[in-house]
Amino acid sequence: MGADKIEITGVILAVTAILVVFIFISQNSIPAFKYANENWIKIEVSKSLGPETANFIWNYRSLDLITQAFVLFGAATGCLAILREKRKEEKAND
Amino acid sequence: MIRLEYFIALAFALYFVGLYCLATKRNMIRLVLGIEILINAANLNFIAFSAYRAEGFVDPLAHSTVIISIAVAGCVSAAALALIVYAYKHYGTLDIRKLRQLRE
Amino acid sequence: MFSPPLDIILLFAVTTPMVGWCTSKSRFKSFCGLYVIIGLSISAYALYSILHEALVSPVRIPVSIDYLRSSLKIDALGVFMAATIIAIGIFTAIYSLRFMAKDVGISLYYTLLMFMIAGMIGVVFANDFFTLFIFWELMSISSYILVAFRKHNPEPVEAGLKYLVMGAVGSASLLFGISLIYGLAGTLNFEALASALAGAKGSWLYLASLLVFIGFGIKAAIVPLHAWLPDAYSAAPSSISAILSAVVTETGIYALCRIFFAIFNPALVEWPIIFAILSVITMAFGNIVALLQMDLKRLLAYSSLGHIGYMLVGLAAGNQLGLTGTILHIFNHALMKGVAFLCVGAIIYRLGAGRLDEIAGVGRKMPITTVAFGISLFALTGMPPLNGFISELTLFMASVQAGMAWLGIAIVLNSALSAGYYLRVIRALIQPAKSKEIKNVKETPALMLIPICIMTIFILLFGIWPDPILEFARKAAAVLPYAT
Repeated sequence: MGADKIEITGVILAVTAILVVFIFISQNSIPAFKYANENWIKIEVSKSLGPETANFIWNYRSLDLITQAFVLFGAATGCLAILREKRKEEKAND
Repeated sequence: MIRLEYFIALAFALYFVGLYCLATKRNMIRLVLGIEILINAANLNFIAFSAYRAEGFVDPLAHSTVIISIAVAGCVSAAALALIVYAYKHYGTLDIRKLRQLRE
Repeated sequence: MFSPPLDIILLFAVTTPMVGWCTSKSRFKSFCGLYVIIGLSISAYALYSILHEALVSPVRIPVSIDYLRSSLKIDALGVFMAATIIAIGIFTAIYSLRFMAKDVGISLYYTLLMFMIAGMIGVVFANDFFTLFIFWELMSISSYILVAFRKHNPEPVEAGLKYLVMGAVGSASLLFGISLIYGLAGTLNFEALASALAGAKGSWLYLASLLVFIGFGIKAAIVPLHAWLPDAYSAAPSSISAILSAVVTETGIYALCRIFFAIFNPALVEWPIIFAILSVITMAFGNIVALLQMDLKRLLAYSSLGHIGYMLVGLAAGNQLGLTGTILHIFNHALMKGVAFLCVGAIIYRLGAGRLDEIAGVGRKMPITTVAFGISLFALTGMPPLNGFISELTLFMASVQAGMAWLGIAIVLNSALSAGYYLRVIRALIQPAKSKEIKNVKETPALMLIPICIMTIFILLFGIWPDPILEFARKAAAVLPYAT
């Protein structure tokens, strides 16, 4: 019964929160881009989005892309560190 | 077109569904799915805003952010799954409520 | 690519597994540890050489396009935090040469340590929200794995999983907040945001700043969001506990400083009262629960919570003096808590046990370690000739100057309360021995003793002569435009 109580309270809280947010959004509409600047780089929908976005990333966001590569390397190293078992020569040295 | 508020409301609903999943589910793998749902709520928000900035145009700043954020979410899930493999080896169960060694 | 200090650390991080594999057959197993120390020293030298330029006017990278698009900005605050991070990193690496010498997969440990340091330096140099998020994730993923590094015991794995779940919720909330800010302002660059949101009000701004605050607050362990902290600090290997409590948690406080004083004008959003209430709750909770702890590492973890409460007082006061106090306390707390965790690690390494009732009498056998531990505990309490006193005095004066004198009195009361459990630890160390295993305990090995002694000398030095570091912290706080 303990798990069921937690699930029921969880469902009630989540549904309440979603309803509160819906009421909030319907009352105050979002001032979308109210504080935005007028000069931004646009891409037309009619062009092919894939190569255009790739050009944008390469020209303006290249540092983030390189850092993402390092994050991948770090995650791979981390998973290797966790899943590594003792090898035979290390067991023999003990 | 569909109004922008519907997309934002859906993103908030996904965020709360993700929090519910993390708070109440017992299986450890469902926690990883909850984290993915949370990050996808934010991604949806980015794409929705980028489409509504001007008629007929798209803002590629949001698209680049989402591409990189999806890869980061994958890395976090990989690390979580590696830890879950070892937690299963030690405790013999995938139930997160049974991990109570540090509770004292 | 990035700036020189960050480049060098990333380069050394990527090549450390190769060095580890090539030297794995030799007798000296921690050769990759030496490689990492060399890398951190070269990076410290590179940081020193851009220091003078960065203090005068900020260095922006990339330079070629128009300055509202630069992703990294190296200014006085960034250089201060980066110097702290690299210094603590070097000391932890020297300590780990001996402490982790018997573990398996040691080259991966050093690689992850370098990635964590690189992530932290990227966070403090970032000028763009999304760059900050990416480096934040780099730091976080490395720290989740490092907490669970000794995976053959169940406690580190459980603590690492709990830390990962809470940290990932924080990162996802941060990303959600960033998306709302993007929706309001159309850009993610800090300088462009500061000019775009200059007069902004409205409930959507509150919501976005609340989500960003939750994201950073989970990593900075502010009280309702702190539940991962005691387990993660006590289950991690002691060198990782030292670097986690010294700099990783403080990176969250740095990010809060940057966001709330360089982007959102705090007077418009009314955050000072909320920061003040949260700081008092955090201080009180940390110090009161620490009085009940018997395990040394858990006690130090709860005392870290108390010190994070002190740092939030500076943010609540909101003036230049308050931010100087917070930034100075980040540096001082890094030194003091670093020495404390390293000494506890040395005691656990020699004795095998870390509870208050089992360490009686160790003080007679490990005199240098006990003296260093005692100095750091007195500094954590805030006693006058040591450096904790300087930063707590600055925070007290700042809170009085901002009209919130009750915060200053709360700091003094909490310092007195914390003396209760610090003195209990010192008394347990210097008592005569009770059990028989104490007879074979020798002094800490020399490689582990060197960083402890150097950091203790810094604690004494910056307590007696705080002028250079106080001046540096003042220049760092002057960078933030909204501090009144």
